[in-house]
Amino acid sequence: MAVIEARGLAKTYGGRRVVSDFAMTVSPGDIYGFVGKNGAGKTTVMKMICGEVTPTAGEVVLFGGASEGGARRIGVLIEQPGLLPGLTAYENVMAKALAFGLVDAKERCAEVLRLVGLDGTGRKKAKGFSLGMKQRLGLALALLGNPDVLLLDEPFNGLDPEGTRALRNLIVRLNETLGVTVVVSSHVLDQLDRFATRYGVIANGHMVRQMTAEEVAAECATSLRVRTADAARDLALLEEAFPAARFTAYPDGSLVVGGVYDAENIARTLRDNGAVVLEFSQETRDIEDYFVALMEGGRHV
Amino acid sequence: MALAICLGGLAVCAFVVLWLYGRELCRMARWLRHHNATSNERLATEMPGPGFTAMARAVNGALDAAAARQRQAAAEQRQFQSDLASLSHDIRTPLMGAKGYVSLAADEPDAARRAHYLQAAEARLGDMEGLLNSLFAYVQAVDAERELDVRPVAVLPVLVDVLMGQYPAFEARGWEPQVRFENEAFTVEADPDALARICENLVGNALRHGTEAPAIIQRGRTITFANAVADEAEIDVGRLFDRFYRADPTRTSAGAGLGLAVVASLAEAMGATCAAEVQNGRFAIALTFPA
Amino acid sequence: MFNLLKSDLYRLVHGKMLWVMTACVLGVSALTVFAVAMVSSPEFLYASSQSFEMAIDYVEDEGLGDSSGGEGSAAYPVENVVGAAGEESEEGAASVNASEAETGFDDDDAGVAVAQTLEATGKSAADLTVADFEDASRDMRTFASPTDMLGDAMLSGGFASLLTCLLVALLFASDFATGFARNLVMDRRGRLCYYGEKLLLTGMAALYFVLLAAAACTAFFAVAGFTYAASNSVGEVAGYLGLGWLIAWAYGCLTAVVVWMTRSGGAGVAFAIVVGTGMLGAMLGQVLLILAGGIAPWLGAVEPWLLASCQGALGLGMPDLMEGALVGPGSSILPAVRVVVASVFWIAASAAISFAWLRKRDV
Repeated sequence: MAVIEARGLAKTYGGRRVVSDFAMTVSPGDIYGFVGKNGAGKTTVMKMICGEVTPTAGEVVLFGGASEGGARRIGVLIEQPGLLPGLTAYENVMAKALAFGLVDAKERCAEVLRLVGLDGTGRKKAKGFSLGMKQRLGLALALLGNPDVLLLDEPFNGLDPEGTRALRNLIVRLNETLGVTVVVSSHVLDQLDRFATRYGVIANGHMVRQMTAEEVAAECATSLRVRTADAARDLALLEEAFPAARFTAYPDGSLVVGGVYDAENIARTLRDNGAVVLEFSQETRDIEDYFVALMEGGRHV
Repeated sequence: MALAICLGGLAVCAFVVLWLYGRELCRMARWLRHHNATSNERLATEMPGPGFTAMARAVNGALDAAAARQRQAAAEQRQFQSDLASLSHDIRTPLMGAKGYVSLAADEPDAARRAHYLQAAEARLGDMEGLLNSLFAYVQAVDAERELDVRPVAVLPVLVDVLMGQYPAFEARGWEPQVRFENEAFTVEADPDALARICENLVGNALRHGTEAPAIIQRGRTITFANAVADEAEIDVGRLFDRFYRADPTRTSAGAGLGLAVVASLAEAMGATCAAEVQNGRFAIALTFPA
Repeated sequence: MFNLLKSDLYRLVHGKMLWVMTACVLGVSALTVFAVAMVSSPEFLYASSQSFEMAIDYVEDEGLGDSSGGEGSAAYPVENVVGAAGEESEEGAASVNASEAETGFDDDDAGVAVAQTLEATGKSAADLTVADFEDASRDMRTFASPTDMLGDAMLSGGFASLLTCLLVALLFASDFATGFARNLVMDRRGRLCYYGEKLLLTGMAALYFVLLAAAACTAFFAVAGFTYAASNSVGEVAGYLGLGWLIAWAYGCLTAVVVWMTRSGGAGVAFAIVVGTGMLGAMLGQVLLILAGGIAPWLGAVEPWLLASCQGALGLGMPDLMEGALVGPGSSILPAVRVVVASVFWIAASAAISFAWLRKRDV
């Protein structure tokens, strides 16, 4: 049962089609990395998922269409968080907690502020917060209702490396201990690379590809790095034996093999010819290149 | 006239309040019916009133407890699977070694070397057998359905039997175990087989990992098995009784790491407590029996 | 709905807006009372009379008056001045015009008091002393009734309505400007709850300001030594305040609808000032009356039903509102009933617009 299922989603703003024929599936327990260039339609899609914006076509089914109270189970941080500037962090969360009717509101507010690291702000008003602190307060507001799904639109914007790491750890912890499904949109690929379990690439308002992290690794791990004592002789040897493969020689004496090859055969060939093998490992293609190509709209990468 | 209006207004208000109360109760019931067991969402109130708050708090407490139990069960399941995986690695290594030696022996022309390879293969298979025996003993020991035949048993004779059984091993090391019983007729309520197994495992542990003869001391209701160890830093006292735990981080020494787990399980089944301590190069396990 | 109410009250209590407005109410009330007390004090009246005397001397010195009758010519400028002042003050009393100053008090009352004192004591202006003005002062400091005072002080001039509308405009606009509304559940049921709760909150705000201003004015006037010629029963005062509350609530609801449609706090504030005080309504009323005279007589019947006219009607004070004193042509229904009907109509209309039309808008 998919937690979020979008089918044929489309949105037109005044004649301009921002999102068209968009499909997306998020399974429970995923950390879904939603990738796309600026202006590709990521934010619009996320707004349609959480109900802020009404789609012009298509539908979004949450939690398999189960309860009608689905809106409460989603925590959202999209664009600017809705902060009340004249109140402190605690008062901001408390205002939302009261609006939601949470019992033990005081404890829950303190707990949520502690989770995002804002429990020491005291009487400082929200209008005096730095960008990172505002993001964190927005995240606290999103976490307040014990959501099952978190929708985060570019949450790492404005965070310093320390804050980025803290946020990443928090997301992973929530996902592992509480089973929260997280959808993170970003164009900062190496952030997602470290903790996403599934990816969706959007280009020009259309979903180009959805795949798991393993599939991405498999698609990117296409080359073999071999380093031997006598690089020149072994290069010739391999080129003779494997005409279909592509070889690239590097100054440090290593050879990178790409294209069609069988690692086991290469190893056997080297051994049979008495090569002294110093290094033999799989190399992954740069994930960023792979994604950039997809984000440009390419289907066959 | 004004009084009538006031009373009428009050009556209307009372009806409205009652209706709102009923509606809130229905809403809470509906929420509970539709609530998914795996969801993190918790009951919130839409009407003010201490009754509703107390009710929501109680429901949420129950839901939290259920979720915690579920998470713990899932964690135990994951732990169990990871334990099974490491056990299968432990078995696979000697198995592959045996296979490798046999295939070496098949290709070896020299008879002497062939014999040597086959001997090595046999040793590996022996290791495997030992592991599987440990596993079986563990499974039996933790069997919750198992009936323990608990009756008054004198500890000293059981211990002496075990030590006698291990005499060849002690002889080979040149060790003489020290036994100091404050009360030689010390008796506990225990299953004799279980008690024997406990002593067997503890003595075996001392033989395998100790650097000198173990000492077994009885005082009050506690029996302590102590021995010197080479590297006390390697021993993680907190995880000592976990199944498959071994002090050797590379897991290259013999043994599946089940011996102490069996001891802990059997002791618990008989109502005794197990505590381990490492201090000044001496490692000690204390078994305390109930009065 | 109760949850949203709790949340909004929390925001008001912990924020600055409510307390600043409360301080303003107290401040303005105090200032008004102080000004009125000043104007009605014997010292001020004496000083006014002396300034008239100085004007007379000046005229004499300049040889502007007729030299044949010293006393007569001296009296003329004084009477002119006083008479003129008297006429103006009569006009002020006759047209209960909401576009006047909030308090509806008139400094020209001083001129009337001086003239009356002159007649009463029979002295000439130069011989008057402060003590002679004690009676006039006491007269000026006596209101017809408590409700009359309340009406003049804050209700008929639209003070309470203005406050309510301002609070509504600023608070409701901030929900959308800060994006806080996005934090709330805004599905179909959520939006109904949201708009309903906000309209209810408007009523609560109106009640707060009506009671606050009433209490402040009553207290300050009591401290300043003002008294009442007649008294009202508790029921009358309660009913009167209730009518004022309904009008303020109606104006607040209209402001809320304007804010929701425009999503702008500025528009709401402008609406509050122009419409909430009754200014626009008064002008509209005048236009209707003019049109009624010329084009369509039935327009004249509409005029008393305007919310602004109803607000102005509150200036009548309590017993009169229930006794069908006619204000304006073509109305034969109790003013109190008019007030209730007009207010309820606009509150219901606001609710209808919010629930029906505004439901579909993106948050």
